[in-house]
Amino acid sequence: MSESFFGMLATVLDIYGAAFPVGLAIAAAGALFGVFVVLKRVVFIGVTLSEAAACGIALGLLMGWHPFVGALLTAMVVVVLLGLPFERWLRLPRDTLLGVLFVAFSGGSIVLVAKSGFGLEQVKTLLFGSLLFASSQDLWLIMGVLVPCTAWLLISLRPTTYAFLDPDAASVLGIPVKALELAFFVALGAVVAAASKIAGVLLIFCYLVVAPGVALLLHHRLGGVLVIAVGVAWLATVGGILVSYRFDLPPNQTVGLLHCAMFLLAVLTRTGLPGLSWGKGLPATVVGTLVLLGWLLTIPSTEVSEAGAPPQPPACPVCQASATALSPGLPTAPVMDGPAGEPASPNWPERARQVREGLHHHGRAGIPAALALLREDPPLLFRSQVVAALDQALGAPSGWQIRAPASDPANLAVLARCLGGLATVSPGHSGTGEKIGR
Amino acid sequence: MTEPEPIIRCRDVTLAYGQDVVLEKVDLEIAPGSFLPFVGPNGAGKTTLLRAILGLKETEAGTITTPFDRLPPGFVAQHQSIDLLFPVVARDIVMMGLFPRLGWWRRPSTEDRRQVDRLLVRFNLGAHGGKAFHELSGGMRQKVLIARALAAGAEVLIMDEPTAMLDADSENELIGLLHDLAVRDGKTVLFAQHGLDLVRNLTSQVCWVHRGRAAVMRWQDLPSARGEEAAHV
Repeated sequence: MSESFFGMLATVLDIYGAAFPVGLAIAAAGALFGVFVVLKRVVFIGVTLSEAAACGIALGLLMGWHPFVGALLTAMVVVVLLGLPFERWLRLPRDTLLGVLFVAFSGGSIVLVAKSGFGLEQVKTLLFGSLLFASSQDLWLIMGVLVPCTAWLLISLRPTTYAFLDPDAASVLGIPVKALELAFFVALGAVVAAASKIAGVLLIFCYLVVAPGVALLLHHRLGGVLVIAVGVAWLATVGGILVSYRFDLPPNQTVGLLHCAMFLLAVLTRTGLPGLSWGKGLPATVVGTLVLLGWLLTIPSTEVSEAGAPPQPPACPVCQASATALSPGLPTAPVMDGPAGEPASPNWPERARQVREGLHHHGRAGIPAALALLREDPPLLFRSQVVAALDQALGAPSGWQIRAPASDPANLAVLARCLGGLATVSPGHSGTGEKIGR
Repeated sequence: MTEPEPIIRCRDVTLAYGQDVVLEKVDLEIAPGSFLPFVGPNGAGKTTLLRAILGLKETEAGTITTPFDRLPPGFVAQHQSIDLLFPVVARDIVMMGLFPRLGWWRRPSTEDRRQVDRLLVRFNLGAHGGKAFHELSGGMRQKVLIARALAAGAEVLIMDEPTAMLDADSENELIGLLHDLAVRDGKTVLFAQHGLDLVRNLTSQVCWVHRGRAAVMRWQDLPSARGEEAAHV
């Protein structure tokens, strides 16, 4: 093992920063809501809400709104439509409506992206998200939504449980069944909308379905199921991130796969090992998961593919560009993919990603490359992403008008301010929070 | 001897689903402590009438007077209404009956837990309190639901086909138990029922629901007793 477990954990915590605890918060909220999603047999709602949120993010970026606004809007459309008595009006099962919405939002995401000139990479980002790309604003916003929504679920746990378990009897006992159901789906929609941008469809659906599924296999009382679901989501999230770091894999997908491995272990302990009772299935699954994780994390590095040696940060073209760009004036924009260094195509997704990574890894040193990219007027989606990363690196809003071209006086003023600031501050790699003479 | 004041009173009640009128101008008076089966053919409106009495179905016309605003009723829906996938044990279901007292957050006291245990023991479920609800037999599940209704302190128990899907022994046991609740505990027990044989010897009256009408009548006045509609009942 080339790096100790705690060394690896420290490095991962350093890379992820605040995104790590926020990822755990998303996992906990998703798993808690997911238990009821699974028990209410509305799993399709989970994936439809995720798709709706992804479509809302695309719509929001296209329209120049905050991505959360778009995601919340489309998620609430799903919630409201589900609240209407379509089954009575149209004599169609509710799942049919969900299916129509799923197709509409899935197709809508792609069409919106395609019509905007965004690339395949961006579609992937929309659909799969990444904890790594969470900005500080994202984190505050996610926590601002997750905390009250989850608190509401816990406060209303008893009546919500009864309302879902036996709606008629609950109603007779004085429980406001319809209101609680609506409140649950509104809160669920808000959680999915808030988490979508960094968790993506896959991971949200995983938290909503797989983690509760494992818990339901391992316990027969609701309290235990809720605790286990959160534990499973946390274990899979931490383990998945560590594995993704060690093997240089995409984190969200690795976390999802680890969830599925835990589900398989839980099924095996319930069906394949009949001697195991309820009480023993849980420790068997946990031990099995830890053994799997231990094996994955302790494979000698020679067994890892050469490309997978993780501790070395990848060569960062932004960094190289930045290193040569701290003189007054703008640097050459990074990463062109044409022959002999000639720009064959804008390749906005890749360039925006590299600029964001540069800002994320190297803070202020990535600013010149970001400004160079912005001066080329990339599509709105990438402009907004770069500006968000730029704001984070600056520690305050840059003032860049994302709906205006770079030649706009306001944006020219930002360019002048930033370049002036860079010229008077010595370069460094840890300047994420530094102000630069605004 | 004066008649006791009715605990439930329906006046000119009309019930419908959209344009389909199910029951029209129903007048009923039900005395406290009644053991009253609602009988009639499938689709006659037994369940609809019971749900209207519970307040789960709005009336198109007429009024239903009940004491449920101060004394919540106990309701046992057809047992399919409970989702068997829910991770709950028998004791959790009975504990649900304490909701009016416990509200959203209060933890059950030792006395609350004892009350639940006493109810489980009363229905011969003492050894099954920790069992998952889906692991219980059909008869046991119905008894758990009746225990839940009693835990709520209900004076009126309303059940929708409590013996549906039960074997003959369980049916007998359950109907006997309901009769005991009416005779010994003074509870008012209303329930939709298909088979008449089980209840014929236990009550002199039934609520006959048929062709848009409902009325409390004696056995001998039932159409089936006069040779009419026998095939439907």
